[in-house]
Amino acid sequence: MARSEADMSDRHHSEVNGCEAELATLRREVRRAQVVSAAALSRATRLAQLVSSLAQLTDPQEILERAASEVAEQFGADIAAFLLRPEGSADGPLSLAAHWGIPDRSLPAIVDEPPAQVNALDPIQPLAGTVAELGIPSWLRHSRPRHLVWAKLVLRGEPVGFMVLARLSDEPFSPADVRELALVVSRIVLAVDNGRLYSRTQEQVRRLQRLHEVSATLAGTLDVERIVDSLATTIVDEVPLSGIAVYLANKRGLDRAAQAGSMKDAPALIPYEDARAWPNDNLVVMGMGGPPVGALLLSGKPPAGSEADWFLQHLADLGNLTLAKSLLFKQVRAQAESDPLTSLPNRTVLMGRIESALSICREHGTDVAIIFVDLDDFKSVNDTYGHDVGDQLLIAVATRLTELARPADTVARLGGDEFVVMRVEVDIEEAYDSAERIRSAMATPFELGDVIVASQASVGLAMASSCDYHAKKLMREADASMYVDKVGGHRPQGTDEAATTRSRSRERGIALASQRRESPPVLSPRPARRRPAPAVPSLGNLRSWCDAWVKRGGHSLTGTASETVQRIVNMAREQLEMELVWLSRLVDGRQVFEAFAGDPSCFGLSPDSYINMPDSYCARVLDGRLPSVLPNTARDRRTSGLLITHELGVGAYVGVPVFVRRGELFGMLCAVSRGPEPSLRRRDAKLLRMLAGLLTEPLATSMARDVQCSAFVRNAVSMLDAGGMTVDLQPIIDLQSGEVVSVEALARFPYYPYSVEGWFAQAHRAGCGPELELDAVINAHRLLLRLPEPVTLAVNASPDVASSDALLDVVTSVDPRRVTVEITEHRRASAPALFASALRRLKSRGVQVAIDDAGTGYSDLRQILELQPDIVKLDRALIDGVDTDPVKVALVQALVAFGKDTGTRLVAEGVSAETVRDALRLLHVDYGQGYALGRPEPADRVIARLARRARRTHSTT
Amino acid sequence: MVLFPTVDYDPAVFFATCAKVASPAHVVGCSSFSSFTQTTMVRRGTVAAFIPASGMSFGVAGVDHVSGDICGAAREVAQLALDRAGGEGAYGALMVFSDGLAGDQREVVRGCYEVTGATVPLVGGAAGENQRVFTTYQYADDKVMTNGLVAVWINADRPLGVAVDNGWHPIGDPMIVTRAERNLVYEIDGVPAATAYLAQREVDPLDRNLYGEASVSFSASTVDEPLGLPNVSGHFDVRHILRRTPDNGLELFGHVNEQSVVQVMTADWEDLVAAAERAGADAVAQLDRDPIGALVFSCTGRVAPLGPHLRDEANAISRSIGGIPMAGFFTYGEFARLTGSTGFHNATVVVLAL
Repeated sequence: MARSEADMSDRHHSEVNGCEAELATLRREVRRAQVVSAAALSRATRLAQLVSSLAQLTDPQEILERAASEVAEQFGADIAAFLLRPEGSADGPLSLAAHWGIPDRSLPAIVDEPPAQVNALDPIQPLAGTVAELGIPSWLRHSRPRHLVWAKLVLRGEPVGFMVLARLSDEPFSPADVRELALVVSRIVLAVDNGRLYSRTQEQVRRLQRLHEVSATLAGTLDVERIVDSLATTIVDEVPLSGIAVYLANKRGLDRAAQAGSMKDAPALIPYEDARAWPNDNLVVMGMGGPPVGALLLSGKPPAGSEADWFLQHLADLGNLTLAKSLLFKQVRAQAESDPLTSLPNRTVLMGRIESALSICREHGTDVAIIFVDLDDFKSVNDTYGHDVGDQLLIAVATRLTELARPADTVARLGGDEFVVMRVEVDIEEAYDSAERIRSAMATPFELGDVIVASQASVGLAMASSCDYHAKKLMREADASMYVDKVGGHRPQGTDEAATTRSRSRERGIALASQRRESPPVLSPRPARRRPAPAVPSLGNLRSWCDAWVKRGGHSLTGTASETVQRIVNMAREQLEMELVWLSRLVDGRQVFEAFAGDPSCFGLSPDSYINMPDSYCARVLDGRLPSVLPNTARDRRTSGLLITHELGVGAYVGVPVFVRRGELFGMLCAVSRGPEPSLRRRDAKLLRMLAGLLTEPLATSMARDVQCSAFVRNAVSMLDAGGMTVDLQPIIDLQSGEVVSVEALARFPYYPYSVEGWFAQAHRAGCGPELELDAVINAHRLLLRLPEPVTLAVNASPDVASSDALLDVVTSVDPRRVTVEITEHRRASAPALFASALRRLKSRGVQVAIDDAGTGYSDLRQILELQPDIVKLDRALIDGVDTDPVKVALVQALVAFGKDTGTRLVAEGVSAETVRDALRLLHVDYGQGYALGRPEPADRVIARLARRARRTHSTT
Repeated sequence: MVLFPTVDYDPAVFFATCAKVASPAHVVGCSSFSSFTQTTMVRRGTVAAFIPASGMSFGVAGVDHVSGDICGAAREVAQLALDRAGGEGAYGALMVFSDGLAGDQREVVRGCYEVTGATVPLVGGAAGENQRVFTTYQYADDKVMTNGLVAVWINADRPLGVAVDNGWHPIGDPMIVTRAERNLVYEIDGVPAATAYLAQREVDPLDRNLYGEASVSFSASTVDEPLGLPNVSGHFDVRHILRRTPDNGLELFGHVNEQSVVQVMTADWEDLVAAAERAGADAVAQLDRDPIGALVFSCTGRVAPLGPHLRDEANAISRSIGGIPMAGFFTYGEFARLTGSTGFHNATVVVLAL
């Protein structure tokens, strides 16, 4: 039993041991199965893990670093490294782009090339082996690896580098590892490529944003300095560059305007010829095809075609646009504030400065002096030498005045030949001395190219303290003072009158004296290059003027509108730098020329010529067959065959339509050159269009006036058709003898829509006042031969008509000694010097000159003094009441004395009563005219009466 | 001097006192769940190991506030320790004590690896506490840190032994991590990670809480059944759960890749003890002479499955290293990188044989 139990026990033990052994075996089997299963699971998902992990990253460097650690972990490697060549370089040196398992202190300075068999690797098949088989790269020796895998990295067919995995333990990489690594490597390269693309896109977006910011900033900036500074800083920071200098174009070349970063040896000025031959490609011109506004001198220019280069180009273009805009603004502003010829401040700026100076000086108790300077006989310089020389004289005057001025002073040009100097914080003595210096400086001859011009200036001075610090009053006083100086003929200093004037000037204004100039303005003329300008425009008659008006489509630019239009047309020529700019009007299928800038004769054109619209470029521009800009008409197949191209000899053309109000087409503003202008761009048309827009207002004003003028022209033509004007004659009586010594011809208009004054006023408004006046003179002069001798004929002429050769020709054609020209000074002479000269010519030919309506209007004593007439006709306002008013008696007495002293005869006008006639006779007035002495009557009747009287006298004799 | 106190002390007072006593020796250490020597289990208290500098030199460094950039902090502290050790010696290892609650502990390995490279082993543990998952302590450079990292660069004139083993095996079905970021697993098999995980467990830890264990954290109640990630060597990298996120995801102690396979793991006490013994033997086998002592880093996650056999693990290690002096603590994660690139572990025993 015991044995049996023992046996059983042994058997049980044995069974238990067996079971335990079996259990242990089973456990080992399970563990082995688990190991195999775990490894399989790990391998099955490691590629997915890697792809998922890399997909979370966008930065190429981070992708490589993550890939190094992940691949090492997933493939049981101790070391993983990526060796890359420079981007875009298939044979550049390798560098360690990312690594896992190599401490920084062991990183190699230079990465050597992999063994030859690795270089020759199939891109999709990595190479695994022991270090004995593959060798150890020098940079891996420190880590003592035992097994390696090399894989070639290929991006879009180009080898870009290698991946290396290393194990330190003696555990080879399995074929499964190698196969999967081929896939892994391709995914990593793809991820890096995507990352680079993403980075580039991000960088592009960032740069675009930056460009947008800079554009927004610069678009709102008109300050050139701020733009160039911002441009320089942005380019250095954002492109980036090591240094930059920004240049602006001017007449001399490229002027350095800003600098940023490290930019040594950037010249202050680069002449254009140097710029064109600049040795390196680091000078970027900002021009976009047009005239350059500036240039960028770069240090460390990015490679051509790179992102940075692209960004740089955009910034350069942006700089060009904003600088062009701000320079244009600056120019427009300068034009608005300064005189374009002399660059001096204009009236607006001057008045602003005067107001400002007055405010300050009044507060400080100091004084401001205004010195008016007006050139004498400037018109004759223009007439003799042309406007170019006149312009040069004005520029030279501006220069001299500026040289005499202190920094705090303001020298301004008001217009024409009028200049003003404002001196602040001066006393009267200093101001007077300044004015004297200015006058002396003006008396020094000006050397202007081929001619030397002697000029005199009338100078007037006024002090603010004497004008209550009131700007307008101050200007008026200075102007009046200057006028006194001018009328007074710059009488010698030291005379009593001058002393008085000077003394009076302490109260208000000063008239400066100088020696009276008798000599003509040109001292020593040299051969002039230009043909002298005609003295006055030739005058036609009213009929021809009306015909021309109708021919021109009932339009005429006159007055302010004409000046404004001419200025704009001139500006267009200056801006486009083309030979000729015209403003034309479309009339009955023709282009009629309204204004020119440049010489139209170069193109066979004249103010009276026209171009048939169907032949013209303009018609083609208007209907879209031609663009607005034609830089080279000979090369352009659309224009090369056109007859007009050859007829006019047009090489380049820019033309834009001109509209008046409500979009009504007026005509065209065109610029042409004889040769091609390759630099012409669409923006030139844009500029021209802008200027055309400026024409709208003056043209609209002019056209409104045209409507009124048209009515006048219709009436005038009707009047002329009905036989024209007639003449009434009014006798002028010798008060002592009672004989008719002369008759004044008075125009009459039988065709009634206006009064006589109305006819002349309307004619002047329409621009044909002189023609009407001349017609009246001609009509009157025809009567001269019928007038019995010694009766003379008096005709009326305004200063401008009196200045004309036409009048001279008429009144001197028959017995000039029997003709008196009465100057009706209801209008000022537009060219006083020329007027005075014309009167001298008339007098030299024997024609009597009378000043009409003396005592009214402009015919004051100054005028009489200046013109030295033969006769002065005293206005009825002086004569009425001379029989009762002792003051008028005294005045007429004084005038009679004045007449005797100067050899001037007096005619009393408006003698309406016999008592007046008697009073005048007692006062020894020479002649009289008025209803009491004879009313105006038709010429025939007067002539017949005079003839009868003459015959009677003759028979009596 | 290396100290592994439990969180029952005022750490400032504790470490200051120890440093004063141990001077001039360097003092480093970190908090533990519990600790042990070759003879004693210390449930509440500390162990101290004095490591004589015979044939060795040390560089000690510590940095605090590492959560913002764990990898960078690890790189910095490792480099500092290397510099203080006077550069790399003939043999050596980098020992680190980290804050296990700081975040993805794989970042510690990544940072250190940039300094050690593949040739210097990494060893160490993440500081533990009483499974409240609240605060841990690290100590070095005379300062106590709560979000710190301690690095000790050990240079030696002879090889050091580092070994790791775990003894866990999978019990659940293989699942795929379908959405994850660092140590945060949002989805497994397309459903919230916690849902997928709990569905694999036989016992829902929430039920356990219903029976009066409300104070036990999710981390503590899942410590016996962590997640495992199979690796290419055929072993499992175990990941313990740090906490459940509000959106029913899982925060783990270490990194998990998207698309990786995970399985719920468990362990028998015999397997755990056997694995500990293998680790001790492997470490000693790497030496070229008899060991003079050992530091042991065992995971807090092993405590529950070991149950009453906790002492057996320490005995097995002691036995495998020949009964020489050893000190160890229960961690919130272990560091051991020998070959390959995996260096952070959960649920393992790591032995450093000196």
